[in-house]
Amino acid sequence: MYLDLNIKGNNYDSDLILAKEANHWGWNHISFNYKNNNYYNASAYLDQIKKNFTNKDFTNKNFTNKDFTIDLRCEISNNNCNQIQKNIRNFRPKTKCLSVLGGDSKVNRVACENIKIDILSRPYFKRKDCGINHVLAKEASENNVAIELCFKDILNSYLSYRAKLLMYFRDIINLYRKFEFPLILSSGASSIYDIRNPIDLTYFFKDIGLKDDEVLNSISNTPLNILKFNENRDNLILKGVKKIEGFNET
Amino acid sequence: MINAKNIVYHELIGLPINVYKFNNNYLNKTGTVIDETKNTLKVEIVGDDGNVSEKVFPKKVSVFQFKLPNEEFVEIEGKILLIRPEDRIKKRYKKI
Repeated sequence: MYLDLNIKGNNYDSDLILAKEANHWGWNHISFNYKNNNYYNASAYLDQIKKNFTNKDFTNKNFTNKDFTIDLRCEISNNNCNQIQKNIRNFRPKTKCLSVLGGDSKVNRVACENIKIDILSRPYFKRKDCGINHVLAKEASENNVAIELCFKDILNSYLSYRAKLLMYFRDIINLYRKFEFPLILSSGASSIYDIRNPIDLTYFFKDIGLKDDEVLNSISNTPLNILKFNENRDNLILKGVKKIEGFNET
Repeated sequence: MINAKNIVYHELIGLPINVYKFNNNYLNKTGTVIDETKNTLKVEIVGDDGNVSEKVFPKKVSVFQFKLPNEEFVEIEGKILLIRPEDRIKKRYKKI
């Protein structure tokens, strides 16, 4: 099962086209990534996009997945740490997947230290290093904050900048092996030409240095765990304490 | 009154308990808590044949399920209870 948690959402028409294309290439789940300002507008037309996938036009194709699901993800992008804390409190109960756009070192730190955040997206964004060190990696693994690598950054960059990005990816992968924080690979697509086959994506990240099981975990298991964990978030009281319906018998 | 929100700050002795997991394996031993130390919980278990036995479970590797007096059920990872019971009220827990 392949999940892409980062496809850039704009409006109803472009989202529908992107969803069709992702479905065609074999993705099982996609999440449209909206900034916190536009999140409420997007949730209004999400149901209409879901209804369109019951049409026969799409289900007759050879490559389509019939169990295709769509969801929204809220991305907080702000350089002010206090404002980020406010946004987290505001959006946490309303979305299944909450992420913070990294880049600034203070923002990276706030995101890794906060247990309410699911994903720290692109910590290397507009930086001259990978954005994560051994301290942040340890915090991320303790608080279960996933670090996201975006394929679009490689696809839309050239020459030395692309080489440096590959270097940052390798640095993050080395930290991932040592500290075992959750890692997520996503396309970050904003047009249909950015969406690739999941198998192409896995082979690209294998070339960078990830192993087979590591790629599989970060493209299917880790995103699935995040979505499942957030479905039961209402029953969680503290870290390690949750309500249940009765004594489990297995 | 003890409930799901304040159970980690509360007294555990006397509550019905199910030791759900032990060392990542399913165990399902049901009984009553009769004693607590920093690292262990002592549970009184009544067997199928009516024999009563006391067993000590380490907190670090176990997952416990408690039944509260208001008929709520709560699952707690033993790792977060690794503190002396009289000091547990001082500890700050992370809110999710």
